[in-house]
Amino acid sequence: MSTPATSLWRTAWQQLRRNRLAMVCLGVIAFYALVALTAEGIYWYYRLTDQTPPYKQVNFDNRFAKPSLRHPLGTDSLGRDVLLQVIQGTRIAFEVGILTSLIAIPIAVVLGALAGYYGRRVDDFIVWLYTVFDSIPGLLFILAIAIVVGKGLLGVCLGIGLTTWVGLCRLIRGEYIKHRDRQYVLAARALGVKNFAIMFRHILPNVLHLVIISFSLRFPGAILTEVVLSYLGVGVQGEPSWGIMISDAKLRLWQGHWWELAGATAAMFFIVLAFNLFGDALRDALDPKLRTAEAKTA
Amino acid sequence: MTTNSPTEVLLRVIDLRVSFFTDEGEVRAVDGVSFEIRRGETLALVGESGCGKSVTALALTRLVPSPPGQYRGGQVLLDGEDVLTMSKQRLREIRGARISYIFQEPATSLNPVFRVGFQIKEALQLHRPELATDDEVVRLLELVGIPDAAQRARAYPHQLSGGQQQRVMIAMALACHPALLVADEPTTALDVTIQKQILELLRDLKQKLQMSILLITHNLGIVGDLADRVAVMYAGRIVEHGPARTLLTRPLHPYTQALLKSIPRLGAQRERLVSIPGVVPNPARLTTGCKFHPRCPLVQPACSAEPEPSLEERDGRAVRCPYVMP
Amino acid sequence: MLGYIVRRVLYVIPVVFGVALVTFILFHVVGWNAAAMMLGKHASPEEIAALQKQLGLAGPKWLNWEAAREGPWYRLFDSQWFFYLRQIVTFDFGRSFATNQKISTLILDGILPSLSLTVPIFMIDLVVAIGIALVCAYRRNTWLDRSIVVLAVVGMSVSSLVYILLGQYLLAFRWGLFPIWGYETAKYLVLPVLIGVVSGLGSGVRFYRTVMLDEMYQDYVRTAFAKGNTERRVLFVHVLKNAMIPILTSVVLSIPFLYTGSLLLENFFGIPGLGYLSVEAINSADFPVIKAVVFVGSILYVLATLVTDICYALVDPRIKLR
Repeated sequence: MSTPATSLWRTAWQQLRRNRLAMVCLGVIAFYALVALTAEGIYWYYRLTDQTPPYKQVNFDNRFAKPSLRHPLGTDSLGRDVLLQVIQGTRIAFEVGILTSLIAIPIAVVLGALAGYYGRRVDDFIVWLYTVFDSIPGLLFILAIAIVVGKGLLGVCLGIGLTTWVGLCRLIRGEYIKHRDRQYVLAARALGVKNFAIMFRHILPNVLHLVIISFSLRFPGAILTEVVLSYLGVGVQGEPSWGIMISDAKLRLWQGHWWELAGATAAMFFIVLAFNLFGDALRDALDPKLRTAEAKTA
Repeated sequence: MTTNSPTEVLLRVIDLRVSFFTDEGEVRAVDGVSFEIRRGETLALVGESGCGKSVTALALTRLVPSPPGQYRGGQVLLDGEDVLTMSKQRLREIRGARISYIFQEPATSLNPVFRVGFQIKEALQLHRPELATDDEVVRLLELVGIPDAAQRARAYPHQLSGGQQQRVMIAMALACHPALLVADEPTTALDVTIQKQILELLRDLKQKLQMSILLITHNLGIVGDLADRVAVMYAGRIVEHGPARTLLTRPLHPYTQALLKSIPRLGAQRERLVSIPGVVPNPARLTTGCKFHPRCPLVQPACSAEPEPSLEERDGRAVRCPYVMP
Repeated sequence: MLGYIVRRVLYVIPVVFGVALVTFILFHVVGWNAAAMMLGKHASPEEIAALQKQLGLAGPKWLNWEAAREGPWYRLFDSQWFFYLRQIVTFDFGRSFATNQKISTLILDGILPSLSLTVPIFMIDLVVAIGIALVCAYRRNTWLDRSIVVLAVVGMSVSSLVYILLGQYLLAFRWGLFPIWGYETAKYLVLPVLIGVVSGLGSGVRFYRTVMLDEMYQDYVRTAFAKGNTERRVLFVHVLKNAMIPILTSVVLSIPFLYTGSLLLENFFGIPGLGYLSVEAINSADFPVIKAVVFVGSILYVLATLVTDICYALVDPRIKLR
């Protein structure tokens, strides 16, 4: 009668696999990732061989071409192929999504762990720190960082990364407060295990699911923010991103050239939708209580 | 029990079936339960957690959360009227007025953001609006033994102790003179001394107000003083049923015997606390034959080979095991 | 409760100090080179030095040891950091680099247009989203509930930029239902408000629905039903008051979102608010203005959280214990 010992991860995966929508979303994400990798390859090939990549090839005789077999998504004001640009945009989107996570998640985990584990003054300081960061209006803060650091991919990623760690940090801190007095932690401490080892080798695996969920839910946010930054002119420079395409399309739309906007919007919509739905399913599978946890802990 | 005249019967449950639909398929939480409660009588429904006793209690006024719960058959006749098929309007007239509840966790069962006086008054407003006054609220709080009632009525639930919270729940349940009080593990969340007070309160009130009580518990030790009859549930079915005194002194079903043995008794020194070997079966994948056979000390080969035994009845007692006939 | 409120009010001081510190580090320590960036590559060192002085970017950063050693001791505070603190206290952030107008005037002028845009969006969004969420909770697990959830996720997967672009193009340009650009009468605000509401609705509905459904499975809801309450009364009296606690939290969380939303809307529709001011400042690398707008925005946010936390104390009786 006893159920076989299944780990949290395996049960979660089994539940996810039964969720057909989540699996479709995972497929979409995998497809986009593949496209992004291909685009990365194209980008570096032409960069290293010092040639003009096809998505930048200008053709003045073929400006604003409607979608056709040769150009499935048409061409833009310089006669460049929209589909090839959309593919390059995928690359930028993934770079932004991954790089911002690489900045934000370590900050959130380390600060959250320190605050929750040590409590007292360390906690007071870190709570104060994230209250301060939380107080500065998001987009403006991102813009300010991006401008000070310099326009471009690095500025965008630093801006988004340095401003979006607060939510996860709060959750991790809460979990560490719960875990720090558990039996297994007391046992480890009694055995003389160092605090850092307890924090990151013993407790961290128990809160890792929060990191995974956070990653999949912050990805779409980063993509949407990049679009706004690119529109405001502080985004990636000189390479086609979805944000640049959409903001370029602003005036063209009024002239009736809808395909540039449609291509970038659709490409962005499906990946953001897939991440949103998959992140939800992941959260329900790994930690159903989390849905309102953020609101309730306040 | 069928020898009694039907006019005395307040509530008759016939072949009640409630299932939950989960990822693993249908779970038959209540699987063909029948019993009746007479006026002024207390029936205790006893079993380990997960046996379906609480679901049975909730089903009496269609309170089982749906989804995932679903009523799969049977009848719940309150004065001859089927609760399971009546209109929502009629159902609301019954809830809180004819049948009312007290639950296991008074702390979470009271609404945290309303004063307790308001919550009692709300019950009155719903069914006896002419009595919805502060005086009546205070009278009810005094009835359940809350000192300084006028002041306590203005407290929020979290400002009261667990015992007082449960008294408030009882006051709320009694507000409209229900014919049947369903007490779902009323003392499980409380300290032992408070448990006793609450049970005494229930016994007093039962005599004073002449109401029936359905007491749901996993603890056979607390039913003795309060219950007239006891029904023991296992895996969604009643396995034994009879007058409280005889059932407690001479249990028949091996499961009932095991439950009785596992009650810790004060003063019983040097006696090891007995637990029932094995675990409550996962209702999603039940065994064939008698549901208790994997844990039964008297298990025979036939127990798993043959179809599940039926509830055999004699001399007012009933038991679902062919080897221990009364 | 009074003690709680006093403590909460006092906590504003270290937070504002922190905001000042972070913005100072951002604009003075990391962005020390702002003057050169603003003037471009061909500026002479003298020009850069002059501008640095004007921007408060000249001299030592934290404490002026050198001046204190030579002159009176209080010249120790003759530094960028204390210059900035003085700007904050006197609400005098100097002049705009691009237009040479006083920044404090620019900000004060911008607040009203901003609020006239964001407050209606905020209120309408809140009421509509909570209303829809209540419908979902009332008809939970029916096709209506499920379609609303799908629509909400689809809605929040579209970039706000696209809402604005399409809304302006279709409703104002093609069909001429609204003015395209400008800030003259209330009529000019209808379309931006409409777009703002629609683009924020998806995430709002989804969040409030989760909150409501979470409450629907609490024990006290079962008690309320067991008493014979109607579904409607359980929802509107028992659940809604409990749900107000997470709802208030999310209200705070959406305040910065509103500010960022108005950044784009004000720019697209020519509403001369703080968002418009910020975009202009970003386009002309007008660091003093950006710094001031960021700081003032933070102060507004800090005050908003303060008000919300005090509201908690009024909604949730349990908070008095803390």
